[in-house]
Amino acid sequence: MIVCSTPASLLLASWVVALLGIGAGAPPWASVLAACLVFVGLAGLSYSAPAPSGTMWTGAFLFVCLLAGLLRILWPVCVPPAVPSVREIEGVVSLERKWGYAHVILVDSASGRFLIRVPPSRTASEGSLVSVTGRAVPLPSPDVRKRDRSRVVQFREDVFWRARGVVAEFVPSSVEETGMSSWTFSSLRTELRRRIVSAMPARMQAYLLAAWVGVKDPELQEDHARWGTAHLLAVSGFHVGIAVAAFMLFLRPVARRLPRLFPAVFHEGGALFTSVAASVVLWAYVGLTGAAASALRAALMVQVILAGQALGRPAKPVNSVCVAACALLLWNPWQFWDLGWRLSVVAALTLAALADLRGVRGVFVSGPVVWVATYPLVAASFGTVPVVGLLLNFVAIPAFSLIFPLISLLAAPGLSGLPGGVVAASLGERILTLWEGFAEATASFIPGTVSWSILGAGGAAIVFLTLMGRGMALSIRRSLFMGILGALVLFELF
Amino acid sequence: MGWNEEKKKSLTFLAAGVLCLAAAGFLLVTFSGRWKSPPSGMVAGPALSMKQTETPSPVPQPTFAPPAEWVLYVTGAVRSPGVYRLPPGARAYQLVERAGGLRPDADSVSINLAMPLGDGMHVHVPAALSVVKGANPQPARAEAPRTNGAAGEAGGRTIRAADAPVDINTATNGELEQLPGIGPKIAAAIVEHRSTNGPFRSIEDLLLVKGIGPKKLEALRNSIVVR
Repeated sequence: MIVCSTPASLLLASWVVALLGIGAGAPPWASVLAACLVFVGLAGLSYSAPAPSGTMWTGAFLFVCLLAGLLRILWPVCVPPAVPSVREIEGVVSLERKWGYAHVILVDSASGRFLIRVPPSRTASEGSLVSVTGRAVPLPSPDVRKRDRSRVVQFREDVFWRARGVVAEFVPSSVEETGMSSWTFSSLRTELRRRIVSAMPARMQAYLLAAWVGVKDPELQEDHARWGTAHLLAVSGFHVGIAVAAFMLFLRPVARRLPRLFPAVFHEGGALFTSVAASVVLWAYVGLTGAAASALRAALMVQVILAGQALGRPAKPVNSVCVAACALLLWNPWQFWDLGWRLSVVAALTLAALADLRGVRGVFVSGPVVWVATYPLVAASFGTVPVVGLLLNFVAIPAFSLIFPLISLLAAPGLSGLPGGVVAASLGERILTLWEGFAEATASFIPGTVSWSILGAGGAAIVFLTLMGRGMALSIRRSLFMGILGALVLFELF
Repeated sequence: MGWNEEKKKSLTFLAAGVLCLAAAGFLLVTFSGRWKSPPSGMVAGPALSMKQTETPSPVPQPTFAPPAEWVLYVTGAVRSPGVYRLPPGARAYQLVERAGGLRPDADSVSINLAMPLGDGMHVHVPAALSVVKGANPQPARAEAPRTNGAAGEAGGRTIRAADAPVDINTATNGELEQLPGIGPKIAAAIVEHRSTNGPFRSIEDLLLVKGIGPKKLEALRNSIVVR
């Protein structure tokens, strides 16, 4: 039963239904009721007699969590927060990026996080301390509640920024840079970014910026979008997993020796020490990359796995992903409308549901299935999905799990100003040139793209929901049934 | 509990589950589009009054505090090339003085020592040899620091000879399209950016144009200039 095997999936499914309802313009009471019905429905669908002991109590506890969570999630969405009435803010620039032809900075102040638009030539770098006078205004919010079938996805700037924790826009009358914060993630990001841009050749720059500071080079992004491998540039579970795995590989010999050296402190092969150290590295990496939704989701998921390891209770992959996704929704429910959150959760859940497939079979099946599962979201947002992605992802995922650590290693001397940095960086550049040549050649052989279609999206939704059913330990028949039913509701709604 | 009873119970739960899921779907489909959230533009506190809502005052243009000192980079035929800090408003001769003065081989004619500088500039003083050899003398040039990148730090201006690369501040769409990797779309974006935000302060400012990343900028670096 789901209640016992993957309880977090019940909560996630119910909360997602409630948010889907609100997004589609259903009244809060109807959305809450639908969420409760989904909770009960999924629990009923997965029931198989005899139920394990304690199922009732677990179910009741989960139901309370469901209601409390619904209150936490729906309240800020249904009752938009008031704009703080401040005339002056002081804080740290936590994000700086291009926005159309202007630049925007996010300033973390005592009154919350504000969005400020600045001319490109006068933008402030991340980590700098600024003092801004002006006035706070609501985020631009177009009235798009009425259903518009002409476009599958409409971009809403207010939702985009709310998903990033912004409380309001601040229209500045003066901006003064008062200094640089020391030893914050933002200042470290700026320093790393500066070093990468100044010391690395073009391709190394672009890939390192994407993997280490979460900044995407538009040209490289265009290339990867054409190859169907754009996910490699967004910091996600893939990157977080590589960072933690590489660190643990390095740490393992140390961890093995610890119990012998300090038997009283470290037991069981230093598992606790490894998990704690890996957790520190994990969150440091996520902070450095700007703590994007996908990175946070992945970090939470890996953290659940690490905690399970440390406590000797290995977690179920689907449940771990659901715990992470639920935590992110509780923290900021607006993330539900963020494409990054959706893509990352769908891809991670798909991979988690396929976790039983190991070795070559796993590598060959996972890439195309993730491609299929994410197709409706990608096609709805970007118009088309390149078919070559199906083929290139077979190679790209295993290849980049080696390329990313390798180029990071090769970049280290150049970034730290050690001798031989230029040679090492050129070697990294050469590796990336080879990949680029291979991807370009493959893409030229398979130039086709797939557009969004109701049939394709419906099929993808059925595949994804069926896989989820399997991941929740439902039988194939029940999973398929749930998939078809879910797909029907989704398409009636959108 | 017998096998049949267990099966019966499972089937009952299954049917109830399906019914609940179908009811949830029906509920959402029926009520979708019937509710509109309150506008997210609610403003708290007394700072913004109703009068302001009725006749909104024009948004003031932000002013930016100038840096306390300029960081400048000088290379070429000076005694001590390097990075120097000078007060805002400094001219080229002050930077050259700070760098120990001109070397004997410096082309003192082509460098405009009275040239006004800006924060983050790179001033290059050419040697006299290049003037003798070249058909066109190559005057001192000022460029933005290469460390600029996407962060968009301070830029500079560049002054070069007549046969020098394309000036992105004056080039037409056609001229820009002659550059490697620049098509009509990016050329139009460069011109639009220029007309919207004013002239480019440095080569690195091209990173602000949609469609130009570090890779393309590197390919362009030797073919463009900012005056």
